[in-house]
Amino acid sequence: MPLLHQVEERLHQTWEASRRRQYSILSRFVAEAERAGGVVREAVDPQAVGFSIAALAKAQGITLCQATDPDLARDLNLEAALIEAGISLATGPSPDGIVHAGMGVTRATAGVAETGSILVHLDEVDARLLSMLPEIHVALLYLDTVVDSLEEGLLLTRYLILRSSLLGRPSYCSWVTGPSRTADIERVLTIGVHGPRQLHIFVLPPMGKGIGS
Amino acid sequence: MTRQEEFRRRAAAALANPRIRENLGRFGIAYRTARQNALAVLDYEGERARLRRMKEDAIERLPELARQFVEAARRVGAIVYEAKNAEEANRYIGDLAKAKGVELVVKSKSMVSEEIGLNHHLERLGITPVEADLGEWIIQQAGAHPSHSVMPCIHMSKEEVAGVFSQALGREVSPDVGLMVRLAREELREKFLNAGMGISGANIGVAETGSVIIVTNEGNGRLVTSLPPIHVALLGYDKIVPTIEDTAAHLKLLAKTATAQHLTVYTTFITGKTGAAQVARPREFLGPATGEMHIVLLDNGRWAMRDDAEFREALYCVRCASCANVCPTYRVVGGHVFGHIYTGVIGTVITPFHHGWEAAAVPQEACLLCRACVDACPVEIDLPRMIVAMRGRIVKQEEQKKKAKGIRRLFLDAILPNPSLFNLALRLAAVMQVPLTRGRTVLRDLPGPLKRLTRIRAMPAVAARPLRSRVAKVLPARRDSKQTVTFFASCLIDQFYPEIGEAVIKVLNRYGVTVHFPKAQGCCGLPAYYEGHKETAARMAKDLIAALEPSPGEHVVTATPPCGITLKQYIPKLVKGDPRWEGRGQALAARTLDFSEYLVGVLGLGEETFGEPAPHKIPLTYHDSCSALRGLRLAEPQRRLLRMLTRYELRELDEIGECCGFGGHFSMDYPDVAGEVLGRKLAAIERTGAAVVALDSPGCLLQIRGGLLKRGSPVQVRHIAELLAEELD
Ligand code: SF4
Ligand code: SF4
Repeated sequence: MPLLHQVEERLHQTWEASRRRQYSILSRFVAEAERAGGVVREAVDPQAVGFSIAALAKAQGITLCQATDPDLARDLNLEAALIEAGISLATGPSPDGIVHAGMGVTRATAGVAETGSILVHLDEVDARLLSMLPEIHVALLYLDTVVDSLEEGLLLTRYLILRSSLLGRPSYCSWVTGPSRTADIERVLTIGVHGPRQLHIFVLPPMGKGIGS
Repeated sequence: MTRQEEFRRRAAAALANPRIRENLGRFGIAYRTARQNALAVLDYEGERARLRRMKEDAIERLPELARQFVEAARRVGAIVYEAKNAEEANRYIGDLAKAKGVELVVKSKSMVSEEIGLNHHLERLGITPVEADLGEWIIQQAGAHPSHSVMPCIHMSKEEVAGVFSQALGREVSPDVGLMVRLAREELREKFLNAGMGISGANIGVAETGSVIIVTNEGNGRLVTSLPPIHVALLGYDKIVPTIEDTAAHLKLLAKTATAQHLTVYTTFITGKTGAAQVARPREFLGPATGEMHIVLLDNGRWAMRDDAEFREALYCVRCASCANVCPTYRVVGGHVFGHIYTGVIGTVITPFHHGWEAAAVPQEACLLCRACVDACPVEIDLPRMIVAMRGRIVKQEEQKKKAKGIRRLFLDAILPNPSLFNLALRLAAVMQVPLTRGRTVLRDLPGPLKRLTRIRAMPAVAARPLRSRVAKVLPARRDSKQTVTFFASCLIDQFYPEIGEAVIKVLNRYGVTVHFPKAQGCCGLPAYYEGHKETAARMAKDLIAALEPSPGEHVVTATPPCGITLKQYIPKLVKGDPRWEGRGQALAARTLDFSEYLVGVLGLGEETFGEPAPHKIPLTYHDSCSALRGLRLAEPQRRLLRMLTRYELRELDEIGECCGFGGHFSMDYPDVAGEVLGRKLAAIERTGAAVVALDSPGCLLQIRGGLLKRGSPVQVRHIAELLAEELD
């Protein structure tokens, strides 16, 4: 698959170059994501993130929080933190179905600094819906997966989609730039329509695995 | 009813509803600033050139890209159906829904579905389609049609919307926007969860991967494509591009120009079957993403548009609605008048291909050819050029059906092209008007059938003696003559404002320029061209080339920018392909300069003032004519000349570049619409507190001076040439 390799090679170069400017890219990302209405927090210790999420959930009166998979919950020490706050946790497709969670926790595959977007690339419906149905969407983003420009973001998106498409595998990827919004009635900007009303992004230390892996 | 009468009828209905122009007017102002801010972060010209190239290339390679798209989509499990027309697309989707036992369909915004009337078709089959985009849902509940392609219910007030909500939900809903949005979320959430099929449009189709890209702010697009077990994506062939990377300029410019965002909230890339396996019922897993995906690729006139050299560029449109947002007449009448099923300017231009020429004939009248939309379009689509091309075809069809109106045709095709006849007609008018003018130079109220001409503004009287009778054939410079020019006067200056012509000649003479005035010159043909009488316009182009060719001026100078455009741009096009005329047309174009451009560019004026500035300067504002600003790309020379004046100080308008609503025949045919446009201009002039309005085009002068006179305003309106001549006294 020479085409895929070419794309991968370019992506790799981009990623190498971005790593050298990781922190300036991050500050651009933070500014843009917040301008779009998202809330970004940088976390040093992933294990502490669970407590931040729990505090957030509590402040918003959330009773059920749902994460895409048990690994994610474990990485963030989410269960312990939520129990302490008196909030229930569901992981993976929940026996409670998809309609109850007030907060959905997912990973983000990457970030794009120029637009403040995160790439939510979740092919499984149940996981993907956690970024769509709850009032609050919490996304975990690794610092070294944030690229600088929209063009680089599209290069990555092309790579991810092409990789599955060539194998005949479907995929579903969204760039999410802030919480859902409308201005359809008298052009009054209103946050939170069909998608989340709040978008919280936690930026975790570099994962060191390379982008798109 | 002629198309002009029908347009007047529809426009009158829109004008009777002040809500439309209030909302659109307010939006137009806010849009201007928001858009500017959003675009400030990028190189607009560079990005739009990139987008244009990408779309040109994609449409050029469409046969190959479409094949690639279909194959790639099938590889990831999508079922692709290529529909030739609306009936085929409707039948496919309807049959599919029936076969799968679907009763409820949720839809994210799809203009193509409006194009083919899909909802109607589904309803006839007993299937309930529910629009999930908030604006579309409101419109659907109200049983109305969208009036704007990005903001479907921009013509409605929140009170009206609350009425729609109350009706739809069966209880009283107060006009609180936040509350209504929340209620819509709840109401539609139920629909998402219970629908058996989701239908989406697509902003882009990607050939390489078979992905469809859907851009939404509300999040409905993602739910429509994830929750129901069947997803149908409906898109036109024109949306296909080579790769995901090719969409960069498209995504950036769409968000920035459509909604002044850096990026739309959700940009979703859907590749193959990724929906739920079953309808989501609470307390059930949805299971793996194995839902069906169907892609309906629609022709319905698109391939014909691609093959039509005059209209191909309409396929480059990214549906940002900028062209509507900046259009002075759209902002008065809205998308129900300016548009058919597709609204606004681009909507009108593509209507013939999707819904037939009959459907487009009336809405296209709304264009007064100010070219604001071309500058605003992120793909630089020349919409007014296509409007003129449409008019040409419509006029032809009407002639064949003998629907054209006698007097109009007589004037455009027989009197206007004949300089002596035209002169004679106006001389006759000059005599006949005497009982009305009683010696005055303006007519405030014309009687009887002419009443329409003075509804919104006073009209100038026809000059007692036209310029051609007032000046000699050669007007030598006083001092040693350095240059010679040929003056092309234009009908307006010749017959209505000879004093402007005299001022032009005076200024040129004073700067050492000998002016030649060939008396054989007539009208440049612009009225015929704009009204779609292309053959007449071509005939007039040749007459004018022949009249100006022997005149020795190094340059042809005009002080009427719209005619300058004709000489520089339209005439070469009109005689193109005619071996006897093509070269001569180009030569005329190359020789022609606007008055200001000549003074600044050739004579080097504008470096210093005429003398000591007066102690108390009079505030003056400048109105850019659409023709000079966007047609000839001239804005600086005029300002340089104005800064030479000792008695005036320039105060810029806050809405530079807005049309005055003259538009040649437009303001004569549709004074009520033109009057609203003029009203905005006059208000902007008043806001500057200027005592004098300077301008460079006699058409704008007619409109603005007439409008101010009608209002009883003391503000004076002068052509730049007159102000310069005054300083030379
Ligand atoms: S040229 Fe002017 S009037 Fe015509 S459609 Fe464009 S913006 Fe509107
Ligand atoms: S024609 Fe241009 S400005 Fe109008 S909607 Fe299409 S892309 Fe936008």
